[in-house]
Amino acid sequence: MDVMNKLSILADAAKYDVSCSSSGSKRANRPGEIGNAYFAGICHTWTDDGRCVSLLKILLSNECVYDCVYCVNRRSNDRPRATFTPGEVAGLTIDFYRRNYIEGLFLSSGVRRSPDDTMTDLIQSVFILRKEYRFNGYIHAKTIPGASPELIEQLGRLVDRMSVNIELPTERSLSLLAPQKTKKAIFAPMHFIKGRIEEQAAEKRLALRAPRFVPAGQTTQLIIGATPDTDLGILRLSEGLYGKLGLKRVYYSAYMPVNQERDLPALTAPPPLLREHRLYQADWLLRYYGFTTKEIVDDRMPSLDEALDPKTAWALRNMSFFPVDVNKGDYEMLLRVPGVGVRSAKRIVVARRARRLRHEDLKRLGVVMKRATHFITCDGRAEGMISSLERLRRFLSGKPVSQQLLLPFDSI
Amino acid sequence: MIYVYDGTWDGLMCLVYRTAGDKNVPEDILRFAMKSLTDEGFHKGSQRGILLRQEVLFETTPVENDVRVAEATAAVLKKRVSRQMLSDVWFALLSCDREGDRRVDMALWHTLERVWALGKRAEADLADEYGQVVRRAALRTGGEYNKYLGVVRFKDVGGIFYAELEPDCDVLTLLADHFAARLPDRGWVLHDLRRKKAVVYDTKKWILTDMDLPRAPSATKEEQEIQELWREFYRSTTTNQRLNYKVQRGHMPKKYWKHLIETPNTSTLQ
Repeated sequence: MDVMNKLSILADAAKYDVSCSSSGSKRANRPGEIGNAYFAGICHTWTDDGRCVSLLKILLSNECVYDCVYCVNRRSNDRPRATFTPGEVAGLTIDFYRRNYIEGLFLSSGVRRSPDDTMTDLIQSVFILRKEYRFNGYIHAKTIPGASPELIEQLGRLVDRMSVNIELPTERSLSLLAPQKTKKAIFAPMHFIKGRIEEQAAEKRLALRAPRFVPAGQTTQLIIGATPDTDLGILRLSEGLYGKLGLKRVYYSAYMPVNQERDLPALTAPPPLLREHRLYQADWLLRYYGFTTKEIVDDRMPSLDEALDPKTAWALRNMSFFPVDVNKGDYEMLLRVPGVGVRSAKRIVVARRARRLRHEDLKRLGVVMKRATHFITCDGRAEGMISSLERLRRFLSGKPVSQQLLLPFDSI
Repeated sequence: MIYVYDGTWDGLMCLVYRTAGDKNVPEDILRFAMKSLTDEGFHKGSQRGILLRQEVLFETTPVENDVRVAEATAAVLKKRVSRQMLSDVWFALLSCDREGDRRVDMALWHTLERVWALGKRAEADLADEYGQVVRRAALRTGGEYNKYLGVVRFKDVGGIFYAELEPDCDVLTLLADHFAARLPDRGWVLHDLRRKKAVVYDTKKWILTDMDLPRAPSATKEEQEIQELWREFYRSTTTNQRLNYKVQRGHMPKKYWKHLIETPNTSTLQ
């Protein structure tokens, strides 16, 4: 089989992994090397599904000994199978990188023969790329659950980022849909990587030239909508992953039915894209806005509201915190105002030192006034003109609200 | 008074120095339409060119560039403002085509005048209208620079890697620094077709030069094969169950498609 056919099969098989960022590593080019790493990451193109392409995302092989019910590459599926040689992977990466098509390589694989054998092939591909071609750009590699720590160590020294996909948020779903995998096999490498990253950071404090270990950190992915798991369960898991395991990102992937199975949504079911979107918004609240899972979803209300973004939904449940005065409110409180983001909250804090801010100034600072206006005052002056909570909820969900009885907000 | 300057960093420094000496608030600031004004006349069909010429003929004060004045002014400025502000001013200057944008130039002047008088205190006033025009213009340049970091496509035209681009903002030299730091071991050319300028890199350093080719250099057969591999990857990595052309165009407006190898917006829903 020629490289063209392999690429076609193995890029198609890799696309269910949604991670595509090339951020988190900053590394200058040294003489004789190809490439460098750009801290913010660079998107090189966008496919017709609207997603960015930053890395050459391929599987080394789509052969697999596992038979996970949700997976397109499972053993029992009758699909064309292909396997790159490590040299082919390295060559393609270099050819594309020289032409500025990509930022680097994202290499994953089905499990051929055994986890350790597969890891060895991954390591070999990345080794050729780094040592023979002297490639200094970005590499993201998957760790195979069940691989031995020595192999994870070897791979971790060569790549920028590593990830293990949890895919199914609960042990029950895992035993139902991926009976050959265990929670332990998935979390063991994540704990190992976390431990090594911390060790490396400690070594680096002692010696400037300590060998690097996954400098861009680790990530994971959760499938949304293949199992009856709630948003509450998913966000609680994410919160733990960020807090206890120090993950850089948790990706959420709306499940696209690829197999007809009793335990799965029908093949014709559309992927739950809106739910995926709301989960990403909630994830941002956890990481950048100082929210906890409890505030976003709880046992009484375990699902995110699809009609409203989670921050607006929180604000409408907690109107006693509002209105916030933009000339007085803390940064933390400004961050909680719907329509105010991290950047505009920071700008408000700076700009109000120079002058009292008025409503008309806020748009210039990047505040989305359509939402924010109902939750703020400027030196006590309010401009939100919707008279009841129910009407405000309708308005912010994008539903029509009649014009009668518009009153300033504080008269509610 | 209406001042005319050349749209460069040095020119802007001399302009600030000059107006301070004149104790004048400019009524308007124009740019020499560079070469076209002196050598070949205005390029045809340019409304702005004609407008500019009338004003140039009647009542303007040209600002002569003097490197020593520019450097001295810049040295004082650097002490008074933050790096962020300097970079915003520099990027805002690059946001225009060669005829300039009077709104940006006036906003630059007012902003510099304010920080000159008030120092870093003026920088905190993010709600200031002129400051916002400068920031917006700087963001436009920064945005286009960031986009081109990704969508520049080199092709091997026989040992040299050649790329064409048509940016709205003058991002060529910014890109040159990026690629010199990233791909230092081969020669490459970045060609700005709009401004008929190019950056040429020879594995040691890059230079900026005029360039106008009758037709684009053609790709070798081996190059075409690599391009076909890239197209195949682009097709295969698309998820046809979740096509979203609106988001795609939001990230990558049509003006960037012309010099890509891949062709966006061609999948069909599955």
